[in-house]
Amino acid sequence: MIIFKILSKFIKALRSHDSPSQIAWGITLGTILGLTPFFTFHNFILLILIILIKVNLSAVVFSLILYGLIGYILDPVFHTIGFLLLVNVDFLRPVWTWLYNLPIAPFTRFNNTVVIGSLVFSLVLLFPHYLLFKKLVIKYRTSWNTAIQKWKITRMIQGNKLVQFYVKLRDWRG
Amino acid sequence: MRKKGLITIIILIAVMLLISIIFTDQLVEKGIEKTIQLVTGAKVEIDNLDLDIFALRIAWERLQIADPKEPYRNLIESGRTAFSLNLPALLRKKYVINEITVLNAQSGTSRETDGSLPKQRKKIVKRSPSKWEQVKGKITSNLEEAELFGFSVKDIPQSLNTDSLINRADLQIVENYENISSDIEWTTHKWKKYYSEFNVQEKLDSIHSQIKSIEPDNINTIDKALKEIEKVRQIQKTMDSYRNKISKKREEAEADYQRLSGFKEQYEKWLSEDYDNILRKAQLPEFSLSNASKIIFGKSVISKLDRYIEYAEIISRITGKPGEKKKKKPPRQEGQNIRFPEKQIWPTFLARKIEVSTGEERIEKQKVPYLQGKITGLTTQPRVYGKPTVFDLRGKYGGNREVLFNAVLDHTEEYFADTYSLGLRNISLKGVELEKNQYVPESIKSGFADIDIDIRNTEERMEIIFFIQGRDLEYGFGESAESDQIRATIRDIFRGLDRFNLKSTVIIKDQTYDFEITSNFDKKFSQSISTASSKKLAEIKNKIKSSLQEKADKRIADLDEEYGNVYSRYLQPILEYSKESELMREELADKLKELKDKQTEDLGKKAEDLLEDLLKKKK
Repeated sequence: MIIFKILSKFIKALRSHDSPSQIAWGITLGTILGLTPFFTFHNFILLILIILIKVNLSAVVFSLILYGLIGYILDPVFHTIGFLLLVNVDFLRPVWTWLYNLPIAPFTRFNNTVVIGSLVFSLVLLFPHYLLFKKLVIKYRTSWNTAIQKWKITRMIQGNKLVQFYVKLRDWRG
Repeated sequence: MRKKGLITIIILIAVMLLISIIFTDQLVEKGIEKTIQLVTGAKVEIDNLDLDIFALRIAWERLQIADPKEPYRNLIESGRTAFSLNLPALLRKKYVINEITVLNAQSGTSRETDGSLPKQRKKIVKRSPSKWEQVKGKITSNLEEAELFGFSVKDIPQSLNTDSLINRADLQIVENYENISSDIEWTTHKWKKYYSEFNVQEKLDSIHSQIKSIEPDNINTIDKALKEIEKVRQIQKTMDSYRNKISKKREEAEADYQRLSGFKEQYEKWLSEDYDNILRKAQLPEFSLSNASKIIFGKSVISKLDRYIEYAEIISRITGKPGEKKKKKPPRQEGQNIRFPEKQIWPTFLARKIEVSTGEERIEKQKVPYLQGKITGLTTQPRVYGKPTVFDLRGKYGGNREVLFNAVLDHTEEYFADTYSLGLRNISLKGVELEKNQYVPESIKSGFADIDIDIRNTEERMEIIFFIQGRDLEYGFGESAESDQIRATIRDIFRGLDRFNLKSTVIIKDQTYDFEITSNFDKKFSQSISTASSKKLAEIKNKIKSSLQEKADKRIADLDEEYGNVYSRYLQPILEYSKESELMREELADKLKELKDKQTEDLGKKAEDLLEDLLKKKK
């Protein structure tokens, strides 16, 4: 049920008054949270940032879950990238050594192959992601919204008894 | 900026601070108590711990570490203690303290509550037995088996019937007498038969008369000479046949002689073995006077050592042993942690210096010592820290008493090397109860002692030296009666022993041990006891020895006579016949040479005569 709720909230967000940038940033930051292992220092900073700045939270949650699943599948790829960066790239070694000796280093877990691999991967995708999703939100609002509403699948989801029951229950709880 | 978000974060921070202010002190207190409990195996209590989370400073008013051996006594009790944690190290989950100040640390204070851990917690502190624990049981059971006096001196003559003991024993001197005697008999029979079948003397006499009958001087013709030569050759042939037979028999006689003549020496050996065997069966107490101290004081010493070694092992456990296994690698899905060179490596726990101090004015009033001194390099990972842990503590207390403790725990290399040294000075022995033993005093009425315990423990070997010097000693023997002479003697020794010293050494290697005790008691004991008990024992031993000797002598005399007959009648003659036959052979050879010379001489003469006749006829 939580999935439907999140999906419903995300669809709502797409049609809300939030700007396309806020939604796109929400998805992009959620991507970082989802792709990288959750309990890390950068995610802690990111969470504070998400709470403080005006980004769409539904987009963050939706993106976090979606990319969390993708991230799990991509872990071997992240390990390979991380191992390459930490071990095989010689010119980066002094940087890693300097970071490793910082007092805060243990909290960042940067020396973990999956952590650094997934972080670098998601940072590389940061701006392309943002620009892509911003365009997609604009496109959704201008053209796709009416068409999507007419899709059988949308109607099926909306006509599903289970969904209706959930909607009733939600409305009853206020 | 999202206002709601900012408020949420502020609320979260406030809640976290509140929780830390309310609960952190307790959590840290419990955490420290549990950690020390795991090492000592007894209850640890910290009073009024105060954690300054911003300054990372911890202080408490009182610390009690219970004695695992005596739960109503504290191993260590200290007053106010304060220290600060190193922040960079703490961020890496390492507890590094540059200096800890401990006030009013005492050892041996009494507790109001039981300091033993509940059973569930005890399970946690279970560990594999140490070198000492592996041999302690063996030493104690060996000491229990080593009865000093199986029975009292006055019982010895009554409980021993030497004649019965000798009669019951399977004596070699008796059993072998029969064997030797039948051997002599068989040899006699063999030689008797031989002489009856082959009269050597007669044969040799006949040869001798034949030799005598040959007279080369009376031979004047060649034919006669040739005849005599032939005769000599015939005699030689017969003689050689006799000589071979005699020679073979001589070898046989020599073997018989060799076999039979050694019985006297063998008897010495059998006599000694029979004597030892009877003593073994009699189970006579061996008064090995040098080990009297070991048997009398052994258990007390082991019990004292056990206590101190346990303390040493507790201290050693803090530092951990080198070569402890690292955590296993995380599974693949969690990635791999790559390590980089670190500028500074900290052990998981390190207290660089612990300064222990006390007020001098307290000394004269105290029954237990206030410790002062320092502990340096106390760490759970000595190989990471790279320096040994050093204890240097001393304490003075009432009555000019003093305790000194030094230890160096070097676990920095692959193989550890620990040394501990504990010294107690001017310890009052007044009212000290001694180990229950029928021979030693029950208590000490008055006196003082200096005690030193040195322990050297390495991967392969443990060496413990215990030394005690007592002075002005007066013993309490209780009401029990002095039931036997030995007990009375020991009590007399103690009464005259106002200065007492004892040194005990235990060396443990490969689960085997060497345990020795020497004491000035031994000398006095040997002087007193040997005159009484050893004399009685010596009497019994002499009685057994002389009785056996008597039996042996009688049999030796019988055998000597039998052997003498065989030798003089059969063995010695054959040896002489052999010599005689050799002489006859030489005589025959001489005769033959003489005859040949004579023959040559006669032939020459005859040839000369014939030549002369021929020359005369030609003329």
